[in-house]
Amino acid sequence: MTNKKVSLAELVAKIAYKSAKRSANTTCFGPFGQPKLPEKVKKLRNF
Amino acid sequence: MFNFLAERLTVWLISKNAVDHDDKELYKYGINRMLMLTLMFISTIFLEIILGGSFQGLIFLVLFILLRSYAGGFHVSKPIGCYILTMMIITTFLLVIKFVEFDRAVLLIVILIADIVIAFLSPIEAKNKPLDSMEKIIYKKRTLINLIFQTSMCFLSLKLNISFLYLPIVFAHFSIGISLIVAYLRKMYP
Repeated sequence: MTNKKVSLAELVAKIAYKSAKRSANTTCFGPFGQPKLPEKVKKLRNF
Repeated sequence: MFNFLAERLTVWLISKNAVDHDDKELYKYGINRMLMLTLMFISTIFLEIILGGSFQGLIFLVLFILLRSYAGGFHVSKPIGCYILTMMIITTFLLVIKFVEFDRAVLLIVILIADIVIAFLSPIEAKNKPLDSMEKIIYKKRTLINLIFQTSMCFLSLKLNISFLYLPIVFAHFSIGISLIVAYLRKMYP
């Protein structure tokens, strides 16, 4: 059970990381304001 | 609300040792964006069910996000206002395709004008994410690649009479074109 919870947490973390990385490399995808990028997210820029 | 949920989820991830405490802000930000995107997809599916759509709203949303991610455009400052605006755009689209018959020539003219606007005005940055000159070049290139791909799909589906595909493409480009014009005017005349 604990292992399953840990892997769910890892999955959520992985998706969250990809989401932050995408935000660093694109403009905001909707008309809603893009929150200011934290410094750590800015460092995920590919170029 | 999203900030609160993102904070709670990040604390949970840290407690499970899935992420480092030092990276808290990074993951909180990622979760915040992830929640917003999930809410948009769930709301769109909900609207499709209410309005009897056939996944065209979802196709519209995907195409809109793909193009808008590099083209940028108009932004509303408050998240709730922005969410309502996005849902209004999708509702309008679903109602329009349900009740209005379109001449294909008109659709062709609309997409061509929208594409010209997008090609010239993009990218328009958000206030919270200014773009440097290098990013502007890359974003413009990616916008044009997206634009060419989607417009080719639109021409093909128009030729094959697949309204299921060409209507979402035309309306996605039209919405982004309008959004870019509004953002450009706001930038020129603040």
